[in-house]
Amino acid sequence: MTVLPVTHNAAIQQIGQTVIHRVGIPKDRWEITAQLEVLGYRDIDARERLGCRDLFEAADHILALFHAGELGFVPEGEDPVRRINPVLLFLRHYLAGLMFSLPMVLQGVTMLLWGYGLWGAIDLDVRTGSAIALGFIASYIVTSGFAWAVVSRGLFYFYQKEGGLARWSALRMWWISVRAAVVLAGPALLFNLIYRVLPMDLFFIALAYYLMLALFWLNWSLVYLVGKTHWMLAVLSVSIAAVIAAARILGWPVVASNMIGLLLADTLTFGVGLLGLNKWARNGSGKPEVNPPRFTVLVYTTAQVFLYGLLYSVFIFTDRILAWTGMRGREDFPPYPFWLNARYELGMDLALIVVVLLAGVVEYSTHQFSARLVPSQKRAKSAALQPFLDEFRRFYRRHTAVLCICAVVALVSAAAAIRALGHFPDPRLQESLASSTTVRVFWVAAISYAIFLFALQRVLMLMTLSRADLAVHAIATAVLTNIVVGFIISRSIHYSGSVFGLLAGSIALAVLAHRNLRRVLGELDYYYYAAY
Amino acid sequence: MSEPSRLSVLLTTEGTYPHSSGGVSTWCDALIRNTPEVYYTLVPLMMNPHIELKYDPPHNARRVINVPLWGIEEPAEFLTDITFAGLHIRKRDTTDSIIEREFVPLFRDLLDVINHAGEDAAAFGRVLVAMENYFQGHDYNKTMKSRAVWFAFRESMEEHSHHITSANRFPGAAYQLPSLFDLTESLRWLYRFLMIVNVRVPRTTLTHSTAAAFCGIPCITAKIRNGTPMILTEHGVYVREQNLFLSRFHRLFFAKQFLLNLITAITRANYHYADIISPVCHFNTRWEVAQGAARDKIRVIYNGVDADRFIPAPREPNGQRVIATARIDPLKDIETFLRMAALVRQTNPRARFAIYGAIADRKYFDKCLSLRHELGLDDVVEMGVESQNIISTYHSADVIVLTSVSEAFPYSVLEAMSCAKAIVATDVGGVREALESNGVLVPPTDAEGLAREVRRLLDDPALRATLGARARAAIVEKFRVDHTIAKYLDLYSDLAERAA
Repeated sequence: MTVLPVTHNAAIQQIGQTVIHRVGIPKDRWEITAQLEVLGYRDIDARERLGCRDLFEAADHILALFHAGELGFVPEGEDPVRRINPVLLFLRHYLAGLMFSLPMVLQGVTMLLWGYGLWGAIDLDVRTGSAIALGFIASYIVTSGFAWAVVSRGLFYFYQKEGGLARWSALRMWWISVRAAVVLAGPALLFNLIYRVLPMDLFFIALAYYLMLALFWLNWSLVYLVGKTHWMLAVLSVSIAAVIAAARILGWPVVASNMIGLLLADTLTFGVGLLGLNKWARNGSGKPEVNPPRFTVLVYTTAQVFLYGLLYSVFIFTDRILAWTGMRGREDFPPYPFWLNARYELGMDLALIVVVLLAGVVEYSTHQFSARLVPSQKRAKSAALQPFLDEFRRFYRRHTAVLCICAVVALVSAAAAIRALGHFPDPRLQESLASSTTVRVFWVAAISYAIFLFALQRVLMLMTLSRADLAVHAIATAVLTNIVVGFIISRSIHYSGSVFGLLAGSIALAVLAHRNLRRVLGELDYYYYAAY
Repeated sequence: MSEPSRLSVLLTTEGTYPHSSGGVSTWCDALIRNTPEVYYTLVPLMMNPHIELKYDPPHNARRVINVPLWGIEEPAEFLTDITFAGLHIRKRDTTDSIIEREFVPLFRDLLDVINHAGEDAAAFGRVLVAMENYFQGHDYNKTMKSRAVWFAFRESMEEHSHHITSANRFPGAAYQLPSLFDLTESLRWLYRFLMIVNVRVPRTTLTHSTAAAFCGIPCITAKIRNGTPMILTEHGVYVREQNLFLSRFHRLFFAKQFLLNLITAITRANYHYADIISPVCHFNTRWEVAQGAARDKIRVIYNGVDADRFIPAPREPNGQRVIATARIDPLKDIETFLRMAALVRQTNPRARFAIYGAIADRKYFDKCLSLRHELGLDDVVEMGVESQNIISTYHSADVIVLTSVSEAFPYSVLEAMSCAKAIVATDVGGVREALESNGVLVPPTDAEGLAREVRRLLDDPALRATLGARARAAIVEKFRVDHTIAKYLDLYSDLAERAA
C-alpha cells in the first residue's frame, strides 16, 4: 500500500467513515471498493482525491483504518419488539384455541337451549341419529388429511410471499379433496348394499350429512389458512339460527332444517376463505398459472401432513366406531351393525368440556414456542449452545406444569358441569346422567382427553419444527393402541370399554410425543435448521 | 438425409433470460435469435418456478431446464428426469451412515473452499463434480437437512470464526462469532444456492454462462467431466453486485461474510474454468483481473444494438423534453436526476422530464416521490411508468440522461445513441467506452454538472444534432448487434474446433 500524505489521509478517513456507516463491519476490500464506486468514486478520483493507485488500494487503506479502530461503527440492534401484555397475549391465543372447538361448543349449547344444532337435534330418534353420526364421523375422517394438506401447503407459499400460489394450491387441493370425498361415496354405497350397515334410507341421510359436513371441514381449512377463524363464530351463529328458524318457524323436519343450515355454513365458510385467498393473491408476486406444481408434487410434499391429519381423526373416532359397532352389554339392542348409543355419546360429549377448556392453553404454548425460536437463536452464540437448549427445556417444563394444573382445573370444571346439568329440566338427560355407562365413559374420556391434550401440545411443537414424520410415527402407534385395546375390551367385556382404547392410545401418544420432543429439544439448533 | 451436425451450446442464466427483462435478457435473446444455426439448451436459474416468461425462446432453443431456487420445498419438485418411485427409492437409500461416510467429507471440503473464498478454484470445481455425482444417487433434501451436515457445518464455521478472531483483534470481532441464527440462515441459503447440482444437463459442444455466478456451475462441471469448452460473459460484475447487495446485512455480519465468501468462491471458479471470459466492456476487467481472472482469457465483446430498428427520427417541436430510461433503483440514482431537473427548471421553465422504467425498489420509489414533491416537481417529472414503445420514447426527447452510479455497458445509452440522441451520462462503468466524445460525461452524483450540461444541450439544438449524428455513426461503426453476434459465433467456432 502507498503511504499517504496527511491531506489524503484525512480524505480517506472521511470517505472511510461514510463507507463504514453504510456497511457496518466491512468484510474486505471488495465490499469497500464496491461501496466507493456507488458513492461516485472512480479510479481517477482515487488517484486525484485520495492519492491511491486505484479504488482497490483506497479500499485497503479504509480497511486498515477500520482495523486500527480509527473508524467508528455502531452495531445495529434488533428492531424493538412491541411489548404485549402477557395476559392479553394469553387470552388472544386462548381464544384462538377455543375457536377449534367452537362448532362442538355451539352445537352443545344450542342443542341444550333450543333443541337444535347445525347437525342433529335433541329430539332426534336414534335411527336418524345413527345416520347423522355415521355421516359426521366419515366426513371428519375423510377430510382431515386433506385439510392439513391444504393448510400446510398454503402456508408454505404464504410465508414465501407467494400469495397467488397459496390461493392456487389451496383451491386446487380443496377441489381435489371435494372430488375425493364425493368419489368415496361410491364404494361406501356399494359396501352398504352388500353389508347393510344401515338401511338405505338411513344411508342416504348419512350420505347427505357426510357431503355437507365434508365441505364444511374443508372450507374451514381455507378459513383457518387465511387466519379468519374468528369469523366462524358469526358463520355458525347465522347457520344454527337458520336451522332453528327452519324447524321452529317453518316447521321443517330436522334433516331438512340441518341441510339448510349446513348449506348456509358451507357457502359462508367458502366465501370467507375465498375472500381471504383473493386478498393474498392480490398481494402476491408469483403467477400460479405459470408452471404450477404438478399433482405428484402436491401429493409428494403434503403426504406426511395428510397422513397425520388422517390418523388424528381416526384416533379421535376409533372408540365411538368400536362402541357403536359392538354388541356386548348393549342395553339398546342395535338392529344394525352401526347404531348410535346415546349414553356413550353423552359421556363423550361431556368429556369434550376438558378439550374445550384446554385447547386454548395448548394453542398458547405452541405459539409461544414458535415465537421464541428466532429471538433466542439470535441471542445464542453457536459456541455457547447450552444456554439456548436450557432455555427451551425450562420453557417446556413450565408449559407442561401449566397444562397439568389447567388439566386438573378442567377435570374439576367438567365434573361441576355434569352436576349442574343434573338439574337441567330434561328427564332423558337426567336419566342418561344417572347411567353408569355415561358416567364411566365421561370420566375415562375426560382423563383421556386431558392426556391427549398433553400429547397434542408436544405434537404441535413437533409440527412447528416441521417434524411431521415424528408426529406421524407417534400417532400411528397411538391409533393402533387405541384400536387394539378398544376392540379387545369392547368385544370381551362391555361395548363402552372402547373408551379405554382412547385412554391407552392417549397415553401411548403422550409417551411417544414426549420422548420425541425431548430428543428434539436436546438438539433444537439442528431441528430448527432442518425445519424449512 | 441426415442433418449436418450443429454447434450445441448450454446457455446458463441467473435471474434473467427468459423470465426477466433487462440488459442481459436483451443480449441473450439477440444472441439466440441471430444464431439459428446453433442449438441451445437453456438453464435459467430463477427465483421461483412461477415467473412468467418475458421472452419466448426461439426454435433453436431446443430445451429449457428451469432451476427455481425458491418457491419449492426441495429439488425433487423441479426434477423431471426421475419418477415418483425413483424419488422414493433415492430417499430411502440416503441413509445416515451413507451421508456421514460419503457426503460429509465432501461437504467439509466445500466449506473449506468457501471459508477461503475459493482461493483454490480447482478444488472447488472438483467438489462440485463430486457433489453432482453424489446427488445422482442420493436425495438432496434428506442429505442437506441431515444432522450430520448441520453438525459438520456448525463445527467448521465455529472453527473458522475462532481462527479469524484469535488472529485479528479488530473492532467488531465479537460479531465474527456466529449466532445460531447466523448459522441457520447461512446453511439454508447454501441449501438453496447449491440446488443446481441436482440438474442433469445434456452434453453439448460448448457451454456459455452469462454470469460468474451459480449458473456457471453446470458449465464448470461439464468442463471438468468432458472437457467441454466454457465461455463466460459478464454483463455486470457479479461479485461486485453481490457485495453491494449484501452490504445491507448490517445485523448479520457472519451471514454476510459467509455468503460473500461463497459468492467470491463461485466467481473465482467461473474465472478459473472459463476458456474465454468475454466481458461486455473493458471496465469490468478491473474487477475480473483483481479477482484472479487470467488476462489472456479476456476478450471484450461490446453489446450491440439493432441499428435498423433504433433509427433517428425528427423530434416534434413541443417544448423541451429530457428523459431517462432506467428502472427505479438506488443504483440508477434517480435522486440525482430529480435534483438535476430542479436545477434545469430554474433556467428552462418549459422543460419537462420523465423516467421510464419498472419500479425495482418500492421503498426507494417512495423516497423519490417524496423528493420530487419536496422539490416542487410533481407536475414536471413523470416517473414510475414503463414505456410501451421504447423507440418512440427516445424520439420524443431532446436529451437523454443517465444518472447511474453503477453500470456495465448499458443498452439504454446504446439505443439512445442509435436514435441519434444527445446524451448526458455519468462517467461510470463502461459508459465512457460507449459514448467516448459523442455525448457528455459528468462525474456520478454531480447534479449540478448534469444540470449544466443538460441546459447547454437544451439551449443549443445544433450541438444536440452534432452529438446525435456522431453517436449514431459510432453505433453503425462499432456497436451493431450483427457485429456482436459475429464475434460470439467466431468464439463458438474457435472453441469448438479447439475441443475437436
